[in-house]
Amino acid sequence: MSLKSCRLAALVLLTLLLGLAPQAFAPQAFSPMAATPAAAQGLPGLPPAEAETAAPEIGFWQRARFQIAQLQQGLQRDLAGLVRELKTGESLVPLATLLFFSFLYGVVHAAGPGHGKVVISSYLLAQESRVRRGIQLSFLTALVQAFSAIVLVGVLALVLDLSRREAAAKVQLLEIASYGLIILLGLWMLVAALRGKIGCGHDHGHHGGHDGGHHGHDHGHDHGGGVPEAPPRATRGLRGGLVAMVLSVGIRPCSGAVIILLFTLAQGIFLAGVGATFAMALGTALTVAALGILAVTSRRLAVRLAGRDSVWEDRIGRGLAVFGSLAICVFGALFLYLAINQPVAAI
Amino acid sequence: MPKPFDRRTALPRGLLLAFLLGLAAQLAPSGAARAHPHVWIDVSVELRFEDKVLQGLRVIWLFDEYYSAFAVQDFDANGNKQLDREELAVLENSHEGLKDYSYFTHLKVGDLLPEDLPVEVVENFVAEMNGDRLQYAFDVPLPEPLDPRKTTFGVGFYDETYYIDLNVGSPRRLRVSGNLPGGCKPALVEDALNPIYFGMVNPLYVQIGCDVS
Repeated sequence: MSLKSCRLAALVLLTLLLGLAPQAFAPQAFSPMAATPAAAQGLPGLPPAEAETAAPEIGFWQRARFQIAQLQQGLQRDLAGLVRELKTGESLVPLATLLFFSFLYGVVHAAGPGHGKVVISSYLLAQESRVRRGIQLSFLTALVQAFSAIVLVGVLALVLDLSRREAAAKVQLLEIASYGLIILLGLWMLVAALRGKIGCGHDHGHHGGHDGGHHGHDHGHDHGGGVPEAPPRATRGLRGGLVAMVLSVGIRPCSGAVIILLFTLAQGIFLAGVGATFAMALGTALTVAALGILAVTSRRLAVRLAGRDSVWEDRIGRGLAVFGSLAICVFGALFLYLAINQPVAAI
Repeated sequence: MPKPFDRRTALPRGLLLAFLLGLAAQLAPSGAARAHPHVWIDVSVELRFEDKVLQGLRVIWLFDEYYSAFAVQDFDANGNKQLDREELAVLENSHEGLKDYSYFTHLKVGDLLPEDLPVEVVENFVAEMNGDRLQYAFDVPLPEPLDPRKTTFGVGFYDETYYIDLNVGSPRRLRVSGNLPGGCKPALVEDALNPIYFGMVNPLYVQIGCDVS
């Protein structure tokens, strides 16, 4: 890339960054709405209340996300009507509609405020150059989340405690466990990145033949005479990370799925809820996969911009590995803070 | 050691990383955007006039399917999967908790604003099932009877935290009983000047407009 085009690109990126940065670092995540609001106390059966404080300023992104949330909640209401139709009617048309709307709900739900996609994107940004892996990760996580919701409601049904409040309490426990595991995973990745394993191992595998020997050489230099890692070993390490990621993000069920499962159970058509849950998972997976592809592509772009300069390639690879791992730790800690500080998960 | 620092390419690369960082941060959760509401209430309101003077309001809340189904589960003491009279009475007896929220009913009378006129007492509170949906009905008395030609009147139904979405929605759910003064007409009006929930939701008010000649 010529110096001129580099500068042009830099200018464009700077402009974009300036537009994004204020929003990115605003402390909205700690805003009072993260907690269960006061109004819940007025109606029995809902999670308890917390005092509200002054509202912070909101920006364009908040409004956009609010619109998405509105769309999602509207869909959730439609689902209730469809479940009713399914219960009373004889045809299977409502079932098809229910599954389709559940799928849409999943797509929108993942596009709205959610936690899984943030952690997954950070993970992919940190250490993945294969688009296929990104898609794999999104679908597996969504599947585990679906199972988590079904098992949770199934267990609640067995112990005959099906109140919304009880379900919310259990979801909160799973959330806390999930975020704890995410922090651990982030720390583990951070340590690996700082020791130079992840960034190197991955780039090595990706660029294959022509770079390989050179890279091995570099590697030896960088890490004070370490032995070049064999690709299969590096891949195995990544697979371990993949499984850890899927499980830590996936054990936290989607609240929308829990609600529809509880509701269909109450209506005596639990299986329809199970179907709806998987349809939601499919929708969620699609959105998260799209973001995952974006993360993987960004990573590849960054590495490619380093051009033939293998030192920079290595630096960027490792920089992303460190940054992504740090992001996972920070997000994990933030979510944990929010999950512990809200009286009960809002479902 | 790796190659020395390359001044030509360091800036764009640094900026690229910063951009990716900013992009990643966009994905961060935001409290304000947590999916709300969690409860929906379809509100119907009846403006009760007597002798061309507004005496009070009759308000009906029809809860959404989810809240109704979960309320049935929570309060079904005898396990027959429906709420009987005694079980509904338990809900009725707990309604006073809503006075801390002004029953989500916000009055504007003349120059007085909702915070000056909290609804602390309602009358004839009845909980019942309307098909599969739970329904509350209650009367909201006014501080004093009001002539809409002399004093402006508005009533909004909303929860500032938007945990609950109360919605009159359609003019069909707005009724008048008794005789309205001539030239006066109720209407649903969005209050765009006092939005709730981080300025994202304009609450809906029922107002009585009169042609004063």
